[in-house]
Amino acid sequence: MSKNTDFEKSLNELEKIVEELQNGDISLDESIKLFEKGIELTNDCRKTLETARQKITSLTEEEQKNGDK
Amino acid sequence: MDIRAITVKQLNFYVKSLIEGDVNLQSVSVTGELSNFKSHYASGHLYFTLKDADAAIRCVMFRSFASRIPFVPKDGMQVVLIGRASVYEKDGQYQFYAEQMLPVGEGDLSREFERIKARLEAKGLFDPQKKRPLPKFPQKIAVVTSETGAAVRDILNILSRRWPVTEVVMCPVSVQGTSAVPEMLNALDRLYRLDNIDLIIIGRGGGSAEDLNEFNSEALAIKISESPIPVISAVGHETDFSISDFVADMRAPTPSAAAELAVPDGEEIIKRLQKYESLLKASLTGKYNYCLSRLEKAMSGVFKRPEDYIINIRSERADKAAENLTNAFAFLLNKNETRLCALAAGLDALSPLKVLSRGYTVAQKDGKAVKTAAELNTGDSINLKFADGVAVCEVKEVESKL
Repeated sequence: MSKNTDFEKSLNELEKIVEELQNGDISLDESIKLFEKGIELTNDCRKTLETARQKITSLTEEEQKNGDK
Repeated sequence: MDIRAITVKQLNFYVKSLIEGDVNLQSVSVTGELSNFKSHYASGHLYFTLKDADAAIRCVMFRSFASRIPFVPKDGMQVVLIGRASVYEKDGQYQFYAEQMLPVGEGDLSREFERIKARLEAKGLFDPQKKRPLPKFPQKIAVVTSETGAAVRDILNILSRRWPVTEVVMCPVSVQGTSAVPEMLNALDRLYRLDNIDLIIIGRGGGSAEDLNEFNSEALAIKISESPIPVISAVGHETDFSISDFVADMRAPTPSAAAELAVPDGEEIIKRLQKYESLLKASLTGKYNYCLSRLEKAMSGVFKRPEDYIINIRSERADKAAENLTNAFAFLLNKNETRLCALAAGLDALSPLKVLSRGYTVAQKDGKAVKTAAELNTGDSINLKFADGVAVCEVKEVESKL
């Protein structure tokens, strides 16, 4: 899976967690679990962004990689 | 010898009348290249030569006609002249009297543009319903443009600044001249065969109308319309459209703008992450304070007015209150700290993992936290959870204080 797919998934999950946690109808235990998961996702996303360096390949290289699959 | 000679004037008059008597020569469209163009005469009449590879003819265009030319004529331009052929009697000069002048190149280009546009539109290639949304977080973007132009630098810079997470696949092609269209078709064909490209940017920086003309190719437009993945057309001319703009899923006025459209803005995403983080903290703090105040209320009831506590417990909200009480109480016990400390320590400290890191452990039985000794029996297998791992233990003896 690519970093971007991961990123998109993490961001979507994070958005869901924020929404759920703001909703008052969950127990404290559940809140803490969600909170921890949320912080973990936030850190993951931030790390992905902060450590990314643009990668450039050529069409020919890409074709070779594709052929090897 | 008695030769009957005519005058030069008569000769020229006769030739002129012959030419003017021919209806075919009285309204002729003739095409060629302008040269020796002179427009500096005070009269406002234009004098020039129209030529092609093999021949030339002197031309004149009188002021009343010249003022209606819709462009500025220059030497070297290909034009169509509409007018009549005749003879200027004074010097016997055979010449063309132009009444209208049209640019050939541009006229042809724009007519061809309209023809292609109409044909493709009729085929439904510009249908707004065919336009696909761009991926939000593209993994790989293919850039089809010239290797040497400013366009490729602009695109790479902006992609790298906004969203370096995305990989770029460079597809160097000519973007003008006869090899441009075949090279672009070839690059697109090869890209379509790959299965891991999320978005294609095809384009070039600004240039003259002729320079940008390859992006009006019908073959290129059809190829773009066949793309299995979204395409951004980015031909650098801001105001005018090229055919590829109409057929692509998205049109960008410049290559830089295409890069901006292609990826999210990293800075904006970082801000969003910060916002989510503070929302998470605020929500949990709120929850924690709420539970704490309910616990306090219940506790004060227990110690000051036992009867109130009993009534409370028996109320319709008893179940919910009891649940919250248990949760909050268990949480406090786990922390083994005063309430003030807990609040002051902030949210990081709230995390059970942080508590563990200070040397406390959580006993778990069947995946659930063990909150009282009474829950345990001799021989039970329990997990002791530390910050850095878990110890699996067996209960040898249970001593309950109650």
